[in-house]
Amino acid sequence: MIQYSLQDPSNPESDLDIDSHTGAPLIDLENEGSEKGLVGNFLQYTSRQAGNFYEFKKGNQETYAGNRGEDLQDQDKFLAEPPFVPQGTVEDSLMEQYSNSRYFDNPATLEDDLPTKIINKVSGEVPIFAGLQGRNSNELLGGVKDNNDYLVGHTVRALKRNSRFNMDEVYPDPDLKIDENRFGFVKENLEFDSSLEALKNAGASQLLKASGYMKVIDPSNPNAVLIQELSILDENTGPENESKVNMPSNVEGLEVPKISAEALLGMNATGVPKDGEKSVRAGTGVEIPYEEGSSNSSSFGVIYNQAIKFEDITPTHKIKTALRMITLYTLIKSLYKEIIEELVKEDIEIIKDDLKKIAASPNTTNAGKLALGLCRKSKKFTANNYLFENFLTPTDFSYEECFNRGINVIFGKETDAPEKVSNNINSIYNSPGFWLAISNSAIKKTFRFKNAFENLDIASSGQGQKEAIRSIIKEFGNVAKIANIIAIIGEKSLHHTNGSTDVNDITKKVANVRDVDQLDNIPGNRVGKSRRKKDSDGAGEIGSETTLFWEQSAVPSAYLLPLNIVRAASDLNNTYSRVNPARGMLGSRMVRNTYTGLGTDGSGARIPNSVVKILEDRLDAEYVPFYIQDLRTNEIVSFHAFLTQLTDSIQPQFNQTQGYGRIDPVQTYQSTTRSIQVGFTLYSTNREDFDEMWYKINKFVTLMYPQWTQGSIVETGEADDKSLGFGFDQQFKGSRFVQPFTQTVGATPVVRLRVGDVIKSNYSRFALARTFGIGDQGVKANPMGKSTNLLSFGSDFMRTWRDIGLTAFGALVGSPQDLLNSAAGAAAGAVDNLLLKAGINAAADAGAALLAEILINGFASPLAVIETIRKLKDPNISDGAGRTSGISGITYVYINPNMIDGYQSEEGERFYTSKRVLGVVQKEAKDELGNKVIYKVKVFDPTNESINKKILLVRHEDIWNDPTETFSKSVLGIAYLVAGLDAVGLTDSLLGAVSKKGGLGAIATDLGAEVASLFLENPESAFMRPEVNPFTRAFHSTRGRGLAGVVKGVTFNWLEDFPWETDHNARAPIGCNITFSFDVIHDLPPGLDHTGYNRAPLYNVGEVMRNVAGDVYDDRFSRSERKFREGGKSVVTPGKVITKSGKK
Amino acid sequence: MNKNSFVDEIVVQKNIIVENLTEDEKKEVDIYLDEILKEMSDSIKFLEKLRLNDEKRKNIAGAFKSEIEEQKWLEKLSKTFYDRADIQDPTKTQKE
Repeated sequence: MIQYSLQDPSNPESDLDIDSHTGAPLIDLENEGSEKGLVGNFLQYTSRQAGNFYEFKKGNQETYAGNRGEDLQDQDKFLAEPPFVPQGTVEDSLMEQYSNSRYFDNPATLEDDLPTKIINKVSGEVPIFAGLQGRNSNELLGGVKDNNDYLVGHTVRALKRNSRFNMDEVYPDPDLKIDENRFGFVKENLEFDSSLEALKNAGASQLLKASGYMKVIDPSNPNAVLIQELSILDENTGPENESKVNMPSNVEGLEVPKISAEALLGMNATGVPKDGEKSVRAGTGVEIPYEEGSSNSSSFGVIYNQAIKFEDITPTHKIKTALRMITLYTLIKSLYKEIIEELVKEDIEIIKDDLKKIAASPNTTNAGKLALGLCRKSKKFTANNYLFENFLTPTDFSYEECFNRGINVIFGKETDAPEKVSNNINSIYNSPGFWLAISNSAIKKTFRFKNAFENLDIASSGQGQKEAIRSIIKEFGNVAKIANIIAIIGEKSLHHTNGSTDVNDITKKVANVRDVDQLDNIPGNRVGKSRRKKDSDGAGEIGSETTLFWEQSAVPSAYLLPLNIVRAASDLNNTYSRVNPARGMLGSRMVRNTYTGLGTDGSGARIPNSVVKILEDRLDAEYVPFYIQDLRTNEIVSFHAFLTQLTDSIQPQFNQTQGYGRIDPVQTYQSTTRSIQVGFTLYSTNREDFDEMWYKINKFVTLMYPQWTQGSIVETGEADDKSLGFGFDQQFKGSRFVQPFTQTVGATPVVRLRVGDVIKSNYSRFALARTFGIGDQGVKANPMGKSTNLLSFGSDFMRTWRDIGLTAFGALVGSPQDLLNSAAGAAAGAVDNLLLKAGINAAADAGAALLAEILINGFASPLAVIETIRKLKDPNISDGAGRTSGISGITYVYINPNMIDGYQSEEGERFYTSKRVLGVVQKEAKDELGNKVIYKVKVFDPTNESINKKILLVRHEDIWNDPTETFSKSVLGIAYLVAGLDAVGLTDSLLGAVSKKGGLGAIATDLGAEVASLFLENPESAFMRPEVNPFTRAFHSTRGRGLAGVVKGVTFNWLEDFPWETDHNARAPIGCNITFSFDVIHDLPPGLDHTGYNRAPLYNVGEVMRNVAGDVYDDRFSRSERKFREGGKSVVTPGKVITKSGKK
Repeated sequence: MNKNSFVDEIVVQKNIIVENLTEDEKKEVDIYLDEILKEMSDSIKFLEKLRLNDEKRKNIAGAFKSEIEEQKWLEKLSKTFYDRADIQDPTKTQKE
């Protein structure tokens, strides 16, 4: 409200009179309620243009002039709307009903949110739902008690669209309606879980509203339905006016109102003919004229009266509604398709012409953009978008899929599992008479649409057709009301089943890409999910469905429990009380991480190396392997922790010698030290996790202390009684024990630390072999002084052959610059004349420069690299002279992870993967548009049936080339194989494919390859076997993937935001920050070897470095990688079918 | 869409939702579907006509097209998009 004080109140015309331009009055107070006053109209215009939520009313009215300092007057003296709920009204009683005290007293109301409930019941503007201009709360929030949250999210959207469905509103002033969009978009993605039962009820409730029963407060109340229907009778209007029907004014609460008895007379029922020849009441004098073809010429009949209480219904009422909706939907869709296909033909011609114009234009700078923009001119684009913008609700899946699923959910018989279905017989879905009401509406809508549709057939003139189309669009709006409700319910259901359109999935909660807890309990999903999945626990899985899958003890560890400790507890009668480590470890969840056995009895007990390897392979499947291996016991303490610090400091030391004539000292290398700083936070997520964490912390602390010797044994007794041993000698009759504190420092705490692939050992048998000179010319390493190769033709012959082969290999694929260099060197060496020598060298330099122009990177041989580069190059990139790039032939490749778009299979399913997946390229294909070359890749993953053997459509950029595969399938690889005469390599190459596929077959294949290699391997390889070579054996005895070193100091921070456990003997923080420094002892001294190659790289990261540096375990086909792949298998999730034209 | 495929599409949906009904109920539904299809027979015939009669189809498509143009659907769409993105329509001058 804006106030303006007239200068002379007694003469309204004295101040603002007539506008000289329009001749209209500026104020116009003479006529009460007039909307002619231009000032008020202008204010309304400006408020509307500014996009104000509340507009000014038209016209001007005289009002009370409140002045500063005066007493406040009653609001009705002003022109403002009453801001408060008046006393004694329905709204008032509802406000009373939902007072706080009542709310808390009644447990049933606790299910709902109080404000929502009040909004739900109190009519009036609801500014908090901005954008729903003019919608009252009843329309916004259905009276559905089961699932209000769901309805807030989805009904808002549905009813927002509803405001446009009435084309009478849209057509006169469409711009105004479009302005609603400024407020109208509910962007929040409200996702709530709801059962199928709740969905059915929600859908049913909303259908009632969409059918025109908007004012019904509680659809589950048959009386309320009756009120509405009676009100239609009362107003005696035809179905075409149903949207004008309002709640009778005499309704109090939810009581059945008293209505005019006349309204109940049959003659006043909706659609009853009242006059004319066919009137059943002709001659009574109360008929209205009857005209054939008029809107009242036919009747849907009187469905309701006070005698009918909506009982005796059958399920077919519901089905009938569904059939009507399906038929209507199909009809509309078919019509639209016919029309739009016709327009597309025209569109294409227009676009082609425009493209030609663009191509012919001299300025083609933005031709691409212009061409792309042409589609926006198409009528199909416009019509599709306009209809979705103004009539149909947007859905996450294709509208049609949502509609079909919605029909199945709302009208189908499928229900949740019995335990989930509520026993509430008053649920809306089962409300007596409910479907009769809906069915009635569906019949009306069908008829109206049918009439409009057939008018289109009849219309012959252009204008008539246009009017018929307009009429169809209007009726379409009415049908869309219901169709949208169905589609929204269907959309929600499709979300439940991850888009699967299989109707059998309706009652299931299918694993959803977004429902991360449905992912399998495997290491690959450790950080991708939150809680365990109850139905896939394998052996060793602990906890319940609610246990966090990423708890700190989730990753496997191995702790030693020596038999001596078990015996000690037994000897001290501590089996059931007092100290007994076995009880603590084997009686708790730590049992799965405890290693004990007869082999652990006595000094120097260790977990066997084979067990360490198995555990390390499993740890390799973790997101980031982070563990410490105590080399004294081979125990592995692994952490699922939060890394906070990781720095690596490498400091070389040089001897500096100052020389005459030079300012800088001569630097002579002396040594290098490497130190690592690690910080991490441990956090236990439940009590058992807490208990294990503290064991782990204690174990960790032992890394700062030595291992002690057993100590000196003292004994008493007769010499004859003594037996030789100290173990199970029952003959000994005296007393024998260890003298206390005679233990001395035995073993230094040397450990191995593994952090991802960054902090790892640099040992490999290959690198060790290089320290033996294997590969150097003249080195002939024979195990035990002679060849052990059972099929050997004679190792000397083989070596000679290999040398010839390698010479050929070098010549073939080596850099041409190398040949030139050698030739120039030889030529220069052959002459004595220094000037001639200089000339030869200068010529060689010029030759090298010329050669560099034609070589890749100036030195690489095209022969050597071109084939590999072609394979790595996208086939869609033109090579100029025809396409030669891309992967060809049967080639193993890895498909890159893709959790966003996933990959489509040949059958149309979609798969998502967070790990690389192995597959074999079968052949090329074209993408959907027929433009790009893609590959058909058959997947091999026997650990996951859902994706195994599927043929996926993959783009070149989605493929990750395996260097092993690329090399071995190239001319280079074959030349290398032949040149080297590597028989074992040949078997590996042949068997590698099988091994890569994984599974038990792969393990058998590995074994076969190992046995085969015993017969076929070269003497150098046999020489390096640990059975033969003591150095290899020594390394193997203490090997592990971690980097060796000593922990030089640890700091625990117990008091940093960590809650404390307060149970008995557990008053300690549930987490801690740990930082420690680590001094590295490299297995092999890093640096360059005498030939200039990196002899023991520190960071074995990535596929290239894997081939360069190798693994600690000389694993032929890398079982750790297999574990890694198996550990990530279940993230491959089949998704929905994507059709060519369908929306995702 | 011809009549058969039209009916087939409806029947597929119908079969899903009547799956758990009794035989009697199913019969009732079938009778009702027949009624609806009879009721709709003119409309279905019209669809068939539209499919086969190129001229009629072109005329009606033309009428739809002119309705799109007259009612400025594309302009309204653009306005909506620009409003939603809260940016000035680049095709209009500042003065407008």
